[in-house]
Amino acid sequence: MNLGQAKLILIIVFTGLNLFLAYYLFWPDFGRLTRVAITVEDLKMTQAVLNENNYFLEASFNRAVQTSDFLTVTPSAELQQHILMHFIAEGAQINYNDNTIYFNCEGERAVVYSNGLIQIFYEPGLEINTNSSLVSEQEIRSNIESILLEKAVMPEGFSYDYIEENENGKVNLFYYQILNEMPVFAGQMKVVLKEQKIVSVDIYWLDMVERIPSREMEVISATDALNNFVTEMGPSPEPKHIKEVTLGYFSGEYEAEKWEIPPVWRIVLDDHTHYFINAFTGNLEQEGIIPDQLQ
Amino acid sequence: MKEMLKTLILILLIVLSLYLTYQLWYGQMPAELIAEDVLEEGIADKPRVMEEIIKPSRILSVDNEKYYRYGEGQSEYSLLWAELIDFLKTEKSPLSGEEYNNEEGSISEGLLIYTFEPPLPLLEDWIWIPERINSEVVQIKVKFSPESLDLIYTGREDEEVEVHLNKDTGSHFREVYHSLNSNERGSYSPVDDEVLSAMYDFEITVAKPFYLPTEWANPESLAIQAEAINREQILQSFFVDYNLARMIEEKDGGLIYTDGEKGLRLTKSGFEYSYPGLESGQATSSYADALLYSSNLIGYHGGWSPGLKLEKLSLNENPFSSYYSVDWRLYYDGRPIYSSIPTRALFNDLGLIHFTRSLYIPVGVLDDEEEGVIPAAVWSEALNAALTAFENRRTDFVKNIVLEEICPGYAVVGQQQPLQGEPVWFVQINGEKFYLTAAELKLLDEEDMQ
Repeated sequence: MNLGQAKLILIIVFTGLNLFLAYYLFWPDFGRLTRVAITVEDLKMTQAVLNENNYFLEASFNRAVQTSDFLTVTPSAELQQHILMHFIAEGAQINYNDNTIYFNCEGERAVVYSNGLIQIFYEPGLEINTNSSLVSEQEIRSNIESILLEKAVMPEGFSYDYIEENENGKVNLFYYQILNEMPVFAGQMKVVLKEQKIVSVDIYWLDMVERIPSREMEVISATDALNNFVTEMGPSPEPKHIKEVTLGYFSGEYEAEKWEIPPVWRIVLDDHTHYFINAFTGNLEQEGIIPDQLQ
Repeated sequence: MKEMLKTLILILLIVLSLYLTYQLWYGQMPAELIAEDVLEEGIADKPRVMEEIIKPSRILSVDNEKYYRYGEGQSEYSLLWAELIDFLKTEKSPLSGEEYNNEEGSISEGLLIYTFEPPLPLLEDWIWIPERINSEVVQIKVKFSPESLDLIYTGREDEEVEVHLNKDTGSHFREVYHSLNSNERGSYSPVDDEVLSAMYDFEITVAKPFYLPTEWANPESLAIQAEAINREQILQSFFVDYNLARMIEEKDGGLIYTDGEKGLRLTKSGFEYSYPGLESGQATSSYADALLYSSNLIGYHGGWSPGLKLEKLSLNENPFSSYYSVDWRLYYDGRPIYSSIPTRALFNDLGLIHFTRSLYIPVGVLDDEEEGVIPAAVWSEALNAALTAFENRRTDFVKNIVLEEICPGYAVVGQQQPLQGEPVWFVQINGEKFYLTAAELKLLDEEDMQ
């Protein structure tokens, strides 16, 4: 045997050894890459359950196995400071009352609550520059966003959610927050329009304190979330269409220093009502489960 | 060139195999393994037997028409309770009418009165209870006479059964009773409707008879520490997989854990747990089963601290649901320790609905209190002060005054460690609670208390 043949044998042996080691090290992850969380049968069964209960699936979602973790957040001090600096620069008068701060200047008023919610009111309102009443929704949004950016109100990392008109003729635009490239439905912004003017903006925005990768876990599948949704909500008296099933983060708002928010499947119906299914436990996320203050 | 390529590939493969071997040996576990549902074995107290779960609310020794009272945390109390249990563990053969020939007016050597609040359950294979008792036992009297040993049982439905046993029965019990040295203890006075009507010219009644110290000469303040909570163990005891629970850090330093259905709030002095989804359930278990379940609850969620005693167990019913409510309280040397947050569990057939635990552990008498303590006011002065406070608080109230509780104890006060167990008279009148400092009878606000 010459040296070349010996090298060849060693190459074969070490290739085998490496394959063996890699198999033991990464097999679960290999499996995850090749595994789907939702089979065609799962999907058909879920659709059948939904249809029986008067829900109709009109959304698409990722069928692969997905993982997620908890996100530690705190009410956004940065955005709050940014907005308030703008008010102070405008010469706003500042008043304090309990846990609320009021900023007043001509045509604008801001109320900052201790839980992080900021409400801004414009009187008589900020005119949206539209030359015609036939402008598209996209143009309205674009105008609103550029006006609010100029007013230092538009936060970073927003994603447009939906628009609705209420009974009083006011138009509400909803945005949610994007953190770490994932939707965070707990971070919300609502812009209220009246007669083509922005009359108020409510912002509840969050800063990410940390991610907890050590607690990364496989989330339940979207079909499991839909099945749990039907179990929790029961049959619908009238046909409802499920327009969206999205993985993101959500929790209630807390009067707290910081908190962890779990991944959720957000299920959106055709009337914009939405429900959050905890993507770890499968529970319908509800508010008011926290015990009262001990004292 | 070909040989050089082979050499290069071989070197790469060797290096890769070394790296993979290192990773396999020392590397982190895949996330899935870390995140697997783990039912941690919680560190819990061993299940308790019934006589450790429920104990007498007081034991009275009556000797020459003088009353001596023993309570949780006193060695005599533990001894007398253990003796009674030991005595009743075996089946008794009462004397027949012919065998029992008690002459009228025979001399009693002594009397022990065990009062149970909450009552003793009727439980098979536990202690001997006469068949004619058909509800839970609220009192057992043990009368030591030269000719016999008499037991008088009182049931919750007021049925009373007296049994006479041979004088040789329970000789050890009799010896223990006679070994009690009452000289070291102050005597107690009975307080009932008759006593109060002689004191006041308005209508005032007692909810139950009280036995109060004729004097409280040495009301020493206690050094108290908030119970140290092992947060991880408590978390594990409430959440099957606490990886799924998320944390909320409150501005006051409190921590809340929740999995979206149930919540646990940890504070410096205890915790509060809530599972509202179970509130609609029913409680159908028997009183005895509820006692056993409540014991498991306290044992599993923090354990039985020394001096902790079951205080109350009640079934609460409303049109749509029902639940048991159970309270525990700490005692020091026979006297209760009062704090503003109860240690309480609410549960039904579905499970634990709500649980608060906030215990303050006495660690002894305050160093600077060992000398020069002012004697406490007597109970009648405390009652007068409480009635005045009641009058100020409930100006609309004019009649049917009911004295629901009057008891010497300790109220936990102070803001910093070590906290203080202030000697107090606790008085409850028509639902209104009053904590009066033992010596000066100064009214403490519940806000002053921990």
